[in-house]
Amino acid sequence: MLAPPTGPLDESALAAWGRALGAALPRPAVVALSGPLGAGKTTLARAIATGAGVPDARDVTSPTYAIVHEHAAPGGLAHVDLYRLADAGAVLAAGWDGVLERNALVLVEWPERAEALLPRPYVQIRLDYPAPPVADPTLRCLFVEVRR
Amino acid sequence: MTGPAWPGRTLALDGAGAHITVARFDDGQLAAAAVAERGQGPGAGAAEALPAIVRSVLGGDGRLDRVIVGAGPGSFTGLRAAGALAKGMAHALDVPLLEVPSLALAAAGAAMRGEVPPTGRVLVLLDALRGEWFRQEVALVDGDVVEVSAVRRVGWPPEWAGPVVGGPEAPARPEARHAERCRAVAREVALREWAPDYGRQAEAEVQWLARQAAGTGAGA
Repeated sequence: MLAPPTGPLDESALAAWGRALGAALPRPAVVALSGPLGAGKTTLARAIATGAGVPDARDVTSPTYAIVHEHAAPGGLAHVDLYRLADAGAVLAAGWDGVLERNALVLVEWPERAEALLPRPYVQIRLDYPAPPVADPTLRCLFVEVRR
Repeated sequence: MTGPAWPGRTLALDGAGAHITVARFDDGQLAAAAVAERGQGPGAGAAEALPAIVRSVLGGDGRLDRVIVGAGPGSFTGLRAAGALAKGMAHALDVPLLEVPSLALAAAGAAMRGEVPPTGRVLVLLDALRGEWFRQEVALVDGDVVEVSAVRRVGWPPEWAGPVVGGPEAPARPEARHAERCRAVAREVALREWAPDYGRQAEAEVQWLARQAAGTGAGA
């Protein structure tokens, strides 16, 4: 898999890394994107979608009220946001099993809501603001691991 | 399949179930789809967010050749939000609006997932609240819906010996992504007159009338 970044990234570097990841990921793959509000999860999801072949990744948006968006891409790509769901039961009721069956690449924001449902191995990416003394609010740190 | 696919770009919406679902088909092939929260009450649900969700599913230049809408019965809130948007889009874009039975969408999905046989008659049940169920028989051939019965509201348990979709343990899931499977029972409707089949009064109205009857309502 693509090597994780070695230091904080600005938005364009984050997008470039995301695009490279989207192209390099094996299929099928599940990518869990966590981090505080505004950390850049949707920006990264959009970049991964671009790299994975979604024709117009502007359609990959922060899905307020939407739980699942499925986009045309080779093998299918689903963008799932669990922010507003209470628990794993609500995720299953939204058709989680079908999402995994239909899509070779599944991007999950707020995976903490249903971590037990994520098929292992999956790629966990946590975005965060850099720790002091780095004070630039436009930079983001990425912590990447494969959870088995 | 039952005849040729819908040509061009087709948008489908349904709000009868626990979620509002949206799908786009390009020459009959599913191109994009979304599942959105239904919410309850003004300001608390998908009615406000649905246009943006539909926009992202439409993609491209937003051109459409027809709009398909789940006709119900089911969730008052979901059917109203999805129905209003579908009708408004058909009006604005000057394209046909076709309705499909929402319970037929659920049957087609269950057949696709292998939960019921792809050919034969199934009974679809959707919670109508207050101990009642919407009941519709659906005939399937190779996963396509070819015929539906009239919808009735019945108690529990329903009288039926064959395969069942939905019920208390596994709620039926009408999903717009199965609209292509329901072409044989789709019906073009008159835009001015069309409204979803809510199947029952809105729950808020039921509760309001009950309060009035009990003499505890506002103004009583």
